[in-house]
Amino acid sequence: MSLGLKPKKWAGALREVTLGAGSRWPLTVGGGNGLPLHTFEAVFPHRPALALEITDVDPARWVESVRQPWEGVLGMPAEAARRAVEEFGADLLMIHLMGAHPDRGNRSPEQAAADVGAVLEAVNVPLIVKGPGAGQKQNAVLACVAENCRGEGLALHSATNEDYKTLAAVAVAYGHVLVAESPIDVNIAKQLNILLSDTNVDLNRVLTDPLTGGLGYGLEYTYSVMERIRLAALGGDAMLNCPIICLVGDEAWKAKEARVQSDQEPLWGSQRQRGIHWEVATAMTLIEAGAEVLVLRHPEALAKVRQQLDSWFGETPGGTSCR
Amino acid sequence: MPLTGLQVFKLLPNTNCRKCGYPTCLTFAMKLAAGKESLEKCPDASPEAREALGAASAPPIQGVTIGRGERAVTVGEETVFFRHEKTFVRRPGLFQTFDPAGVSAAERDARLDHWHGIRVERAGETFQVDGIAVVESPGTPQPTVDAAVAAAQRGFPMAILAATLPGAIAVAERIKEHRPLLVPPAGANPEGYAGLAARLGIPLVVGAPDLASLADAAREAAREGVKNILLEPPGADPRSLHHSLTAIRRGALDRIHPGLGHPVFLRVGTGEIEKAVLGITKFASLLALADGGGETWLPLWVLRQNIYTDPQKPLQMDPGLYAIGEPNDTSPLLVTSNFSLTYFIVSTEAEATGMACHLAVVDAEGLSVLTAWSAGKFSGDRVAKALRQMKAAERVSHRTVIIPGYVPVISGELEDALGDGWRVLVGPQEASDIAPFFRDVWGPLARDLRAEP
Amino acid sequence: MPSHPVRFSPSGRSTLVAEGSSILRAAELASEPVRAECGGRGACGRCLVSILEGQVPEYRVLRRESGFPHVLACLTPVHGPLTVQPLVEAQLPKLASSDRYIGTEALLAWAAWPLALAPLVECHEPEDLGVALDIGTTTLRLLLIRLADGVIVGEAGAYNPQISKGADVISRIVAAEKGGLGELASAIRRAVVSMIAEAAAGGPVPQRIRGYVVAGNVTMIHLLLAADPSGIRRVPSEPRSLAFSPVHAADLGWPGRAGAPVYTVPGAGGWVGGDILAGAVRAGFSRAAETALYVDLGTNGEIVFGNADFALACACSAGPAFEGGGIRCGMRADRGAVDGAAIDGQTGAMEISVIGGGRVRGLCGSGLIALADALFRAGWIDRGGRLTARVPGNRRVEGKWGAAIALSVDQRVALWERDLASLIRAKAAIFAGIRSLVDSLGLGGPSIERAYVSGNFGRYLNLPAAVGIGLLPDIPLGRYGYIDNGSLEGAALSLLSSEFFSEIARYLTRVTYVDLSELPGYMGEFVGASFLPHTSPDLLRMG
Repeated sequence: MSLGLKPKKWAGALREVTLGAGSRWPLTVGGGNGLPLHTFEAVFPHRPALALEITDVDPARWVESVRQPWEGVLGMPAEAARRAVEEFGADLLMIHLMGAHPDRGNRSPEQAAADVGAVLEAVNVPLIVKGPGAGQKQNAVLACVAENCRGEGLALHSATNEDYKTLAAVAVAYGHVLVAESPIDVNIAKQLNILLSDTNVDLNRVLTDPLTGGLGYGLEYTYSVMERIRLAALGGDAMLNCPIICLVGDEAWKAKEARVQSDQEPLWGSQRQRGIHWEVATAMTLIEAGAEVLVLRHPEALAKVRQQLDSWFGETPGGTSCR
Repeated sequence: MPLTGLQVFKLLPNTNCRKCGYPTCLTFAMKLAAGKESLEKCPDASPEAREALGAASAPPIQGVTIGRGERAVTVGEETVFFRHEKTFVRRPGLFQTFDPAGVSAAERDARLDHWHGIRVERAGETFQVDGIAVVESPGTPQPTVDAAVAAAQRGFPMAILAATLPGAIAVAERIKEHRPLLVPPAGANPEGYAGLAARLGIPLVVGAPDLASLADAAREAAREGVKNILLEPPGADPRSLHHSLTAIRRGALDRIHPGLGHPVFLRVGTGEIEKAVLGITKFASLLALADGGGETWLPLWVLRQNIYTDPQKPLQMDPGLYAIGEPNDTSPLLVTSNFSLTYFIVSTEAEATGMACHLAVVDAEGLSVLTAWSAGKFSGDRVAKALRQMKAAERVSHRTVIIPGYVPVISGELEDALGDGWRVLVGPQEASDIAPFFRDVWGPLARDLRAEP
Repeated sequence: MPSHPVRFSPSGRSTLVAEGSSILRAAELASEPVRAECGGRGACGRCLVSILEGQVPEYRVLRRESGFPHVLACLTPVHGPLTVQPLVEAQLPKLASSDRYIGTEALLAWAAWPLALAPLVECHEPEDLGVALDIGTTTLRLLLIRLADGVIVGEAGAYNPQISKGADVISRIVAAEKGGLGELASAIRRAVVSMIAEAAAGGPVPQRIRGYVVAGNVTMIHLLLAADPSGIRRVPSEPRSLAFSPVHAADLGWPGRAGAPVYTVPGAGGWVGGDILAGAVRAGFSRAAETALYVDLGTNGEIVFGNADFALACACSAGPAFEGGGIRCGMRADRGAVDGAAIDGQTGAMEISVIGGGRVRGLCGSGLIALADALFRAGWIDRGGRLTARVPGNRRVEGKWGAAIALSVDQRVALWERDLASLIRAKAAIFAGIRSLVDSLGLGGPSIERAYVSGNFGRYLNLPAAVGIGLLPDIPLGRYGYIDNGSLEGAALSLLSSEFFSEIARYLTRVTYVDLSELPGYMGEFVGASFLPHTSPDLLRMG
């Protein structure tokens, strides 16, 4: 650069975390030593990974335009997993065990483990397992899944400051990755990592979920917290350099603006297109802030995001960096 | 680099005379350092102080105004790379690209009227089409001139997406009083266009195939007398564009080259929303969008609203009674603070329950519920007063109000302050528990209320 | 309306109260100290009393012991004669009347620069006396000083009787707004009269008093002078005055020679009062070239940072944890209070140190700090203050409030996880206040060259422990100084030196009040400090 712009060099770098083991094709994320997408001055050994979300039961709240590409496989984890990987090209999957929530079906831990097992049979990509929420039930479900699927390197979502001991124990015992979730706060994210590290969890087996606010619903909070986390990591903070995972699909599609039909709001244009744009805008913005794993919902959104990422990282067959 | 509070303090007389309106020189110094005050207020500031503070505070990125009058758009004057360092200051303008080729005058006017009338409200802001960027078809400037005039007359700030120099001249001459932005074709030699812009006194976009040439071209244009310049960054693909945008902002803030100290212009083609997203997040100040349609504009308006919110001044909702769904007088009444994020989260979850309700948004100065309460801005008294002001009692036949689960302590005070048989119900802590709360707590209660004579 | 006699046992204090008044009200009228942290709203559960004689409504009875009903004093109405015994939970332990000050030559002991004896009030006779008074939110302290030579000849302490209207300043302002101003004023004035009697110890003191200097926070001064305090809690804070003119002692019902004045030390802002300023000037701020920090580890957590040229001040509501308040087994630093612990890393044995030796009755603020540090170092609690697996079985208690570490053999005195959470919150507020205050001057600003800590710890503040848990900045320990009661000492110096008193008035014009809630970084600092010792320990080093 004859302008005299010096490339920025940093003291620290992101950890590399490998998702998937055993019968999974392993997928590594993280490892970059610069600000996100700053490929002109830093090295990024792995590109952000794109996951699609599948569910254990029919997701009634998904809006019609999102249900449509999944028609015929909603609430059928194995079939949905196959479509996600073979047709839609997802690098990895997240199964949301919403049916295990006491108010939404109360499926048992054993049923949940069976669902996860079916997905593992159906595809070979790494798997993120999102619990049903609801405190004790979540721990019971994830512990059962972790044990039944030991050695597969699942990413268990999620441990928080208030409740991390159970998940930490099963993640370590059964060889899984832990997702550490904090409420859009740099300090709490760091505290959780310190607490995990103090209980002998290897931070090279941890992903950070800073809690995604969708476009219009807190996006800028997540964005700035992620930028601050990245700066701390690059400054050498070893308690804040785990790769970040963002649950984009769920958050983006909650927005009224992504769902409302154009007959109710004519100025808002086509709902179908608008919703996809909503998800893409959320995803791209968070990639710029440092997201290394993104969980999306609409396959067209995934395709668009992949196309964008190809500009930085080159095209890869089917998307994953190693197969 | 800006001076610290203590550094500024050392430049002041330290007499605590209060002429600036502040009790001590240190208070004033801290305000100055934060950019919240001007040295003018200190009549006793030394010339050394004025010089030191003046030099430190000249903005690294020029401010440029496009258009005139009420709808004029001013961009630039940014001071940070990361929004969390302070804030991004001037919202980027979103212009609608319009190619009048083959469009009848009637159709043209209809479209311009439509764009002119667009108003979308969100969180206290009104979104609109900020300006029109007219496209010149090479060699046939007349439709462009007519379209430009029609748009300018409606009060739109204008950009001229020129194809040829003669075309540019024709259009620019006609609407020069409206201070339109002159945009040469991508890859064109800036010479000629610079002269035109200088002569007419209008802002100019400068482009170049690489960053060094871009900086030089901008400096050249300034030397030729162009006072207001925007930069069009090189880069046909997302990666190169991202690189240019980043380098320009960094270079401007570090004052590497005077030619970099200008706001950035981007033209976005159809189906290129990702480019616009990149632009809005990465420092572009003016975007010309080829796509019309709310499905493109709404996400971009909201993205701009999010990214350009001052991190220190959270967006506030207007206080008042909001309807979720179609509530009637037996619907539950919930109370929350006017921090926009709180409102969005609560209203989204409430809507998702499928049960209509009234949501009373109380002025808590934009703070979240718990923060507001600890600052004394969400007390029982204050909530009661707000409910009276919004005449909540007239909208519900029951006398039960549901407060956020994080502030049960205010229930006694609120009941006292409301009087009149009002009862306070402590709601869930998390918005996501509103559904079970409605089902398990409100449901039975509402049945009892209906059963009462 | 009929009234009924209520007698308190074992103190013997008694009063008449109107039919239907609460037992707590009777306690107030009788000057019987009964704890009421929530100001009598039935929320804190502290004002437990046993009814030895008389009848109370059955629905108020919480339980019976040996046949005597236990009730909450604030909720229980008096419908007939009663004999009431405050239970342990409701008692405020006797303040240590330590005779700590008697004989001290105040100017010599406390002045940071040579101060000549030049009393603020007139004095002619060799036995003329002056009174220095510190009106704290929780405790009052009084010194009788001989004006001829500046020697302290008497002292007394008492609980601030306004406690029954609430533990904190806001509750009292609210009580005043609801018509209680007159009563709050009389209560404090009466308490001072009792303290004078106590300090006089039977001697002919009252006629010899020539004047008073009173230091207290802005709200306390307003209440003393019966000035409407409601503006103080508005945003921005608008006290009636920050510098009240002196009043006659007789107007307050206080003894003294005819015309004896009562001076109040002026404040710098609604939340930074004369008590803090007196303490800061006593510590030498107004004359120092070095930048110093002054921290008052009381309920209001005032902090001053500065030197002769400038001072920044703020108040961070730390809460009562440092005074043992809000802590399950909390008490003041008095006989029977745990004030330290040592844990053998090898054997896991814990040795507890108790003020005055003897039976463990509770845990005081400095004990809480020392314990937290020892537990953390031994790995018995994690960085979030929660018990770990390392706690030996015989020390671990589980209750409906969570887990605790037993401090007494019978396990009745224990340190609960919630207590640790309160401590962490309190220390986070203070440390975040310190960092935010110093950082508000800009990055790379001055470091802390000296630090003074003031608070009701008696002699028992464990400084290394305070630094160890991240309450105070990690600077060389030699830079720290402990001031027992800066407010009281500053009031005494003001009494004995009009120069000192004027210096306070001059210095306060240099004090800039910073509202922490307006500093954007404060909340982040608070969360960061809510960890042992800190989320990012390098931020603890500030010098």
